[in-house]
Order: sequence, then C-alpha cells, then structure tokens
Amino acid sequence: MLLKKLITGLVGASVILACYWLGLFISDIFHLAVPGAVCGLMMLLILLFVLPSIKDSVAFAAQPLLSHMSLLFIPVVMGVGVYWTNITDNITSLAIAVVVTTCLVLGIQAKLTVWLMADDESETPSNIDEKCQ
Amino acid sequence: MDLQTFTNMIVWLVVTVCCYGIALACAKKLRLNPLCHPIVVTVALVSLLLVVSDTQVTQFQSYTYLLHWLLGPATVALAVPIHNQWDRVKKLGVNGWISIAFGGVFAPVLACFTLYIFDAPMTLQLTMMLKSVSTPFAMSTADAIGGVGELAAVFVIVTGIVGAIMSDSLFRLLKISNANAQGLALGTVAHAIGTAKAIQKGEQVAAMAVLAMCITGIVTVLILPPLFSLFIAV
Repeated sequence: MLLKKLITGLVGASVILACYWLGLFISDIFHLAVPGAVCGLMMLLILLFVLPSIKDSVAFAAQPLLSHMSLLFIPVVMGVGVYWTNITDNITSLAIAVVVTTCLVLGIQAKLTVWLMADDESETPSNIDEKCQ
Repeated sequence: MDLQTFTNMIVWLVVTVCCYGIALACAKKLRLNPLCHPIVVTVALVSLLLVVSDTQVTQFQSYTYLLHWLLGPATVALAVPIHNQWDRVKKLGVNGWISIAFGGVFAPVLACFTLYIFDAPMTLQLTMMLKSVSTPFAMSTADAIGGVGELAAVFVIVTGIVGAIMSDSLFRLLKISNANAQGLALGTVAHAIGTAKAIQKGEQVAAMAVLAMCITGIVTVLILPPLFSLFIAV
C-alpha cells in the first residue's frame, strides 16, 4: 500500500518535473515571452487532456505543492526589504492603487455580474441555505 | 559546499518550515482572518529570527533556495486545479467571460493609472499590472514585463488581503447576494486569498472564485508578456 503510494507520487512528480524542464527549455529555445514555468503548466494541461490516466498520480504529487504554496513564497517575499525605499517613497500612490482600485473593481464587477446574470438568480437559494447552516 | 553552509541550509529550512507551521496554526485558530494570512505571519516570524541571529536576508535566501526552486514545479502543478475546473469553464457562458474580463482588465489598469498619475517609477507601474493574478504567475511574469518579482509578490498578497477583508462590507453595502457575482469578483480581483474567503461563503461562491482565479491568472500571464515585448520592440 505504502509502496503503491510512493510509486504513484514518484510518477506524478516525474511528470510535473518533466513538464517544468521541457517548459523552461521550450521558452528558452524559442525566445518565448511566456515564462518557462507557465509553458510547463500549459504542457501539463494538454497532457492531462491527452492522457487522462495520469491524472491521479499527477494530482497526488501536486497536492502538497498546491496546498503549501505559501511556504514557497517566503524566500522571495523576504527579499522585498531591498526595495523598501521604493515602497516608502511611493506609499500614498501605492496605497491608493492597491486599496482603492481593488475595492472599486470588486464592487463594480460584482454589480456588473448581477446585472449580466439576472437569469441565473436560481443559484442564490443554495448559497443562502449554506449560510444558515 | 562546505559543512557550515550545509548545516545552515538545513537549519534555516527547518526554521522556515516551523515558522510556517506556527503560522498555519494561527490562521486556523483565528478562523482564517485574512490579516493573519500564513505568509504574513511566517514573514514576521522569520524576520524576527533573522534579526536575532544577525543573518542577512540575502544569506537566508541562498540557504532556502530549495523552497524558491520548488515554486517552478508548483506553478506547473496548477494545471491540476485548472483541469478540474474545465467542465465549469465550458459552462461559464458569455456573461461569465465578460465579468471576468472586466475585473481582469480594470483592476490592474486602474492601479497602474493611479501610479502613472502620481508619477511613480516605471518599475512599480509595470509590476502593478500583475496585482490581481496569483503569486506564482505574478512572480514568473514580473521579469518578462520589466517588473520586480519581490514587489509583485507583495502587491499581490496585499491586494488579496484587502479584497478579502473588504468583500463582506462591500457586498452588503451594494446589496449583492448572488453567489456567482460574489465568487467571480473575488476570484478575479483578489486571486487565491479572495478565493480562500469565498470558500467560507459557500460552495457555489468558492467554485466560481476558483474558476475566475484560474482564468484571470492564465489569460494575464499568456497575454501580458507578448504584449510588452511588442511594446518594447515598437
């Protein structure tokens, strides 16, 4: 059982890594503007459609990477200290750019969606049910 | 690699993972309050330890390079949730696409325009274009469009936290109860952190948020770099 899990994980991890390296390679060789990791993602996506049988092992190997992705950002986010003066020098404009526009677009987009999807109101009751639980 | 460096690598990797573990426990305890997002808490704890141990940030980054490297394969792994959403993508309909396109275009463009009006440096303006795609996408694309990965990560995380915190009062103020509207707006504008918030609002909101997040991320990342290289070439 454990051995089976191990093999599933290894197969999945190999597929992900192969797509990653192939993505880097292709992005580099063809001087694509799209980053290598994203090329790899597109390739894995295509592969999942072509070979649905590998889905289980890929999903198994992807699970820990996806659910703990926050951990992988730590080294980079720590490096923001280097750009600290860039941030403090422009703090007003950055604050407006991030806070105000985020709220504005969030509200307007939601309003727009309500207006566009006026016919889909039937979806709402199930949501209310869940909220009441 | 000498023994000293190797020990440092192991120690800092373990320390970072432990800090992250504490951060996860905090997030769980405080019922997923967006302000105590695991990244915020982990960064605070690690910074404290760096100061106490008198370690340079650049040294820390080289010791924990393994984590940074794993971000590449993790980005590739995002194909799995996108593949899971495929049936929903097909059923989304024109209205859904219009909604996502609206948020996906206006959130970054308005933010950049704000920086442009305030005459902020070009690097900041370019980096701001990535504010509403999830962090792995933003970081891998930052270099390609002349932005800075570190800043992109911070803008993205702050945007997500703001979106998640403000969404409740915003939706109440505007009287928006439609699950699709809430989900699409949160996923498009506030990516993964907004999606985490959406999960608390119910299954339909969560599904729509995941869908919107995936589409915004992929489309932004595929369109922006070619657009910018064209821009630079002209």
